[in-house]
Amino acid sequence: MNSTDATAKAATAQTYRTAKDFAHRDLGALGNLRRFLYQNPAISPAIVLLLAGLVFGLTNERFFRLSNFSLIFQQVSIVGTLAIAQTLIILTAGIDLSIGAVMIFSTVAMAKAHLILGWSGPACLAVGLLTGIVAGGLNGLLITKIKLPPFIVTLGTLSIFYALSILTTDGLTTRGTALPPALTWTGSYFRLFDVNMSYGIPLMLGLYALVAYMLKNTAFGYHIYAVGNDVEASRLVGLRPERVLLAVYMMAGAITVFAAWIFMGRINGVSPNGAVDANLDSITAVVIGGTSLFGGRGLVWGTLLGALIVGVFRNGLSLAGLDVLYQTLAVGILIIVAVALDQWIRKASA
Amino acid sequence: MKGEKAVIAMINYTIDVNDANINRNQGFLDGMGIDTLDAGKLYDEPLTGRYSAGDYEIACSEIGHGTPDGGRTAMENCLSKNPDINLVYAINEPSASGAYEALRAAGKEKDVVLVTVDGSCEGVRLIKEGVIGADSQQYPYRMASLGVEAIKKLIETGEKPQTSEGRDFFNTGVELITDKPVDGVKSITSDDAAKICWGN
Repeated sequence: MNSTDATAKAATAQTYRTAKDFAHRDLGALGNLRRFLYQNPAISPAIVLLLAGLVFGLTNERFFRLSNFSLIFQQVSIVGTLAIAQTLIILTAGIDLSIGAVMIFSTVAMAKAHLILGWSGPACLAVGLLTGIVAGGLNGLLITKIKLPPFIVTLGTLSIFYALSILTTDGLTTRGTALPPALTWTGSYFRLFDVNMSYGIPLMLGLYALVAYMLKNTAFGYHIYAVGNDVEASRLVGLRPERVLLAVYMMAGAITVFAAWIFMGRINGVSPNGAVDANLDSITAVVIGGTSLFGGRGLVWGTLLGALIVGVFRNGLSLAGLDVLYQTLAVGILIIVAVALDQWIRKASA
Repeated sequence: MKGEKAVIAMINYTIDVNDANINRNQGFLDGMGIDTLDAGKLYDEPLTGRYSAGDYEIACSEIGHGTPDGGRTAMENCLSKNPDINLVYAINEPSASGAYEALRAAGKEKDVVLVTVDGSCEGVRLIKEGVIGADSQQYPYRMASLGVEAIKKLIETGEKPQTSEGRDFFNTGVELITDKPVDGVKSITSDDAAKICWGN
């Protein structure tokens, strides 16, 4: 090291007397922007959603109708709810490819509890919840006890739960008319501002609020971020990462069942042949929503924005009369841009 | 439809260009008396024009992944785009049942004719319930048994299978199922179809 460098270093060190000074040091326009985005992971998806809404609204007057917004929320409600569970898992630097298959399997369990055992609606829902928690727990145990990577574990359970759903139903659909009304209640409507809203919408938004509160205001929420940031560091400060991970996968299983409930309402029945893209769509929502696939950084509200962005693109491009190929193309580009942005933002020091 | 203007929603399978996706779509349009131009190509038909009994308009072409949830989302987007839709083609029965839920939510299930392809026992029950208006029934068991017999014949006698007259494939047959038959169109009822349907 020559003497000029040493002088510059000394000068720099003198500038930041306190940690706060250091944290707020000027990084130049681009650097400051990057730090801002790093500290506010939901900002970029919010901007994308606003821009997309503006463009679609200006090109088609039907887009801005309240009834159309209600439709977009209803269309997003299944994947949007699954994506809450996916966010928790991705925050721990994990991934769940089985989430849609677990959802379908729990709807099958609920239908069977009624068709075979004759149980009432609430009892069937309890069966579903238990199924989801056990399925999530199975993923969690394989990951924490046998130390298999989440990608492989959930790739396996994806096939297992899909096969179980088909095996137990012979691939047949059960119509809502043959099920207790409680199971399809999420698909029924209430009026808001003279527009039909399904009960699935407030159910999804309520779950977002609950999980956002947990992540921000509870010790367990901080533990999720800590384990996702650095497993070894979290162990050194006295956490037990295996326990946190197992709890996260079980919690994700429970949330998946709420998505299952919304799914049954939307198709008015139970079908093992549905939600084919739900596994990957939930990951898409999380990634576009600004949560880092490397764990430890992200907000659950960002995921809601991510799910809405996909829904708005699908609906808006469809109203514009564009070939469905462009919807698929647009979503693909969004994913790449979101991940590239995440990589760039992660280079910022907070 | 009795000669009124047909405002059509097309709910296809996926963005894949596969035979079933194209042939079912083009077969429906052909049956309507709409010129499909290239029968091997989707979306090349004029969006408005004349069908055999009046004017038509193709209001939307969406994909429903052949699933009930996909069918519902596709139908919702179609209705958002054009609330006057009165005829829906869906690639298969699961997406047709999803489309029906979207129509029911919009209070339009009574005003819209929903047609599809499959003819499974499950679908036949949907016709009986009034969910599906008309369904082209196919016979996969016959396809398989005739196919195996043709292979056996080829091995034993060396005789190659022939295509059906005027077709480039062997036709294993198809019946139109509807409980609201129309003069001049051969169809069977859902009760008859239930006796020869596939699946459970």
